[in-house]
Amino acid sequence: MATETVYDQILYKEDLSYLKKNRDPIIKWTLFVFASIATIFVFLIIIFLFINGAPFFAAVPLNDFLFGTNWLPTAGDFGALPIIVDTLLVTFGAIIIALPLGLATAIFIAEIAPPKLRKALKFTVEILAGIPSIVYGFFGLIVLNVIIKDIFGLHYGNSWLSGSFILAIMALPTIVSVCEDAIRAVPDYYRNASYAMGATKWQTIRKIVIPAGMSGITAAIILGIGRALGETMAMLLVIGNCKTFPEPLTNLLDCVAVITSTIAAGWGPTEQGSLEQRSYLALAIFLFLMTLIINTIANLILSRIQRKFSGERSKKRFSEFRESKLYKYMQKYKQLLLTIIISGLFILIPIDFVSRVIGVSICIGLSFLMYIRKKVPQNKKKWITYGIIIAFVGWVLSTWIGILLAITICVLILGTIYVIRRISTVSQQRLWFSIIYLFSLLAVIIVGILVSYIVVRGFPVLLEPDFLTGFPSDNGREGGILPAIVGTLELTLGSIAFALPLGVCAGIYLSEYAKNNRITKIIRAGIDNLNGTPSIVFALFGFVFFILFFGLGRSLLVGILTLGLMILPTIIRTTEEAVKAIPQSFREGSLALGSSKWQGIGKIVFPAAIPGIITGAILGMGRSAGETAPIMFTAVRSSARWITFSLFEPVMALTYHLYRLNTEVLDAVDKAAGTALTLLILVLLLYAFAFIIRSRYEKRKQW
Amino acid sequence: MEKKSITYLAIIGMIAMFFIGWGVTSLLTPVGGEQRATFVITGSTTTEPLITECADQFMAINPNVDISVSGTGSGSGISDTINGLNDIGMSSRNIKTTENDTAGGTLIDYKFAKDGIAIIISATHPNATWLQINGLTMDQVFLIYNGTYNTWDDINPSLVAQSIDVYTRPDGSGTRGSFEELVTKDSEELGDNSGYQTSVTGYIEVASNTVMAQQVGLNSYGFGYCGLGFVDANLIAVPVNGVVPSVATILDETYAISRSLHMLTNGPATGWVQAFIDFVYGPYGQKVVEDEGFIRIWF
Repeated sequence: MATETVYDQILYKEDLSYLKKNRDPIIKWTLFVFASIATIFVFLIIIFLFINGAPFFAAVPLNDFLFGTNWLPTAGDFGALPIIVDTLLVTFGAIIIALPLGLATAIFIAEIAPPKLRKALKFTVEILAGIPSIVYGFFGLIVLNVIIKDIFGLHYGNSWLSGSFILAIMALPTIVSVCEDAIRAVPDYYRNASYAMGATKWQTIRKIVIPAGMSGITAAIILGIGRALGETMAMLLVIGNCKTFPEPLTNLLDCVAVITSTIAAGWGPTEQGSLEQRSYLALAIFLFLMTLIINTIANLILSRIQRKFSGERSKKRFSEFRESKLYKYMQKYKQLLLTIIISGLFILIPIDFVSRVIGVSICIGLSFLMYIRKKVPQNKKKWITYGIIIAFVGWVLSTWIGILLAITICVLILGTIYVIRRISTVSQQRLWFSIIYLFSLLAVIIVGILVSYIVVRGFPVLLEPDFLTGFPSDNGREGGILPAIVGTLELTLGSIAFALPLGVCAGIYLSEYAKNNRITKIIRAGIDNLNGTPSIVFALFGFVFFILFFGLGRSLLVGILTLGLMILPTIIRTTEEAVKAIPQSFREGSLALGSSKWQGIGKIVFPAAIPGIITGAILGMGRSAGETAPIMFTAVRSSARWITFSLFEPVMALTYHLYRLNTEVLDAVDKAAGTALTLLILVLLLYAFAFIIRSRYEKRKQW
Repeated sequence: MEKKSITYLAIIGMIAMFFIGWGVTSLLTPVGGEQRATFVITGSTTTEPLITECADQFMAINPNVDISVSGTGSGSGISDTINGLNDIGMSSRNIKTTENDTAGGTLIDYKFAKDGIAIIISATHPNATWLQINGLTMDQVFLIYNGTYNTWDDINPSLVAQSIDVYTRPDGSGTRGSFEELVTKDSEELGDNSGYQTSVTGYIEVASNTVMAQQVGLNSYGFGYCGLGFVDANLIAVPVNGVVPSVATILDETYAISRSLHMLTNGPATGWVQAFIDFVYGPYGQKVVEDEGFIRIWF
């Protein structure tokens, strides 16, 4: 090198660089092939579910499925309404619990906390997202259900409340991080303008920041709903899986069933290829469509925020629609429309006459109140909203504790609101801030209890001589979990080895090469939606596609492929984001030096994006290590005396082992806690690793 | 930047090499000889712990064999056997004729253990003694299960006026199938079979015998059913038609609600599969059957 001049170098390399430029189309097509494989898999999932579910919909009228009230597939009853309603109720309850906690924590992190505490809290919240759902299930079954049973003096603790509570903790990380992003996205000059007007910090948060971040908060709620809807293993263990409506409909303490747990419990025992089995596929399709709608709405809202703060105008197609007459009519009569639709739903669903009348009259009453609300002066409007909310709370309360007590509580709440509005702004700020502190603290405490319970019970087991290095015996009551640890590692590494090349190539292709046309949009939409699809849907796909269609037995390979497909969308997305985050000037600089497009991407953009991609990959590994549902039907075995590396044999896995210890072998709670702790440590190590890489990368970032 | 990207690529390359190597070795590993002989058992979750333990003991004696057991539920165990996806299927219910027809009549059924399905209540039930002495009739069990009796005093006015919390297993479960088959068969004389299929939804569904035993034990007003071997000190097995469930009454068939546990092969078993079936029928296997709470078929 030293002896050559720059001129020599250019002369010498001229031909070579020409050759290298010729490589470009080859690389582009290779990337395209990988991207198509990834995309084909993504769409295969959707297509295969529908094809296999089709015979069910041909045999059973949709009306019987959606509005029947009796779910007993072996007897030919396929009424999924109670399961669907219960799912919505449990999810609704979870959001009601998670939203105040999550929003308060997000406000605390984004606006109030000092930088060091902020970092620690953010880390905790993100770590929380990595706790495997089976661990929550274990905690819910052993601790929460017993507490709820004792507090309320019930016969049993398997209830809507415990389900919602567990789901709330699980949805919390999603809600906190999306809310926090939304609040931080509000430009600082909004705040400064507010302070300049003499507003207090709380007034700024309350009147400026939250309204400006409202659409992000809505997206957080919707994403939280999506997370809660797809939860399987914890629900299977915690709620009682009663396929009825709660009695009465507001009874938080009644036993309920959700779609995911119904599928997980019912799929295994049914005869393969029978109508019964297809009925569970139909449930999975329904769940898939539900999450599809929810994710689409969330994505729309989130992209609208980006446009809002970046000053872009909304799309032309949309603005044309906005100017049309139909839209204006819809705007004018949207309340009437909504009322008619919801009342119609109440009339359509087969509930008893009294409930129908109550439902319809509540609908009409609400819309009448909203109509009045428009007429009253600005400063009184709030009271009508409060009134509606408190009337609702009162109604729910009255079904538990009697009307008189409920009214007293409602009056007290109204009085408190009245008093709060009268006190000085400084005291108001103090009050609200203490509420925020309290809620954030509560969120941390709940997580603390969960983790410390598992650590306290599990740690002594980890210290047992044979636990981490021995083989299980007597159905896991004795011995260790070595094959399960190895199995989980095999599944995790295997799935990442399958998903990473495909996902990275697809991500690079999508962000750098794909033209911004309709096909790309469809591909992107498909990937985005699969990102939020419940794991139980992947489980059924893996079973139907690899085991039934391809005739592969229950094996490590099928588990790897199923898990790999599950994390593929995440990897494509993180790759795309990591590559997109590299400033355009890098590419321009490279092109200006005479490099080809691929030279620029391969030498400049991709290396710079690697830390981001690795973070995504590790998060994907954490997710696949913590999943139970996708491997439950496809890859696991109960016990093992060998450490096997064969792709064509089933393996043990920590998650499934824990599930087994919770359902088959109940007298080994300590072993279960030890397994839970091992799983927790494994997943959290992966997550911590990802965060270390990310923070180092952020420090080194030079642009 | 250049150096770093080479390091990253090297790491990725090494990982890729590792997996390629893993894949190739796993493909090339021959079965037999000094290597392991592997076979797969799937099916009933009731039978699974028992077979898992048998398999562990069998593997301890025959270190070259690797048996993989998975609890998937009776239905899929039988389907797996029909489709050749396992070597032995486990079932806790009788094989349906439709299933045997699908297989072309080649299914071989090994009934290797018996199990009584005990009707259980919690030991903390306020009328535990009354129920233990007087028991229930088959008709009463049926009427509780189909939702005709909602509270305990519906059965007998002297009992507590609290709701009966019925626990059941998921639809399709072998234990539930056997229970419903046996309980409703004797209730045909009631002339009201129509109520049976429509009202059994809405009960608490539990994942296994063990969970059933645990949950009913914790609930003073619970009512459920589970294998006799799972009845512990927290539970009372209620006499049915005046017969207390026990090993003796199940074997002489005076206790009405009992069933067999099945292993299935598609066509005659050979080699290690046959050896394993023999092991389960043999003294060690039957001891495991007993230890896990089921009833051995010979003494």
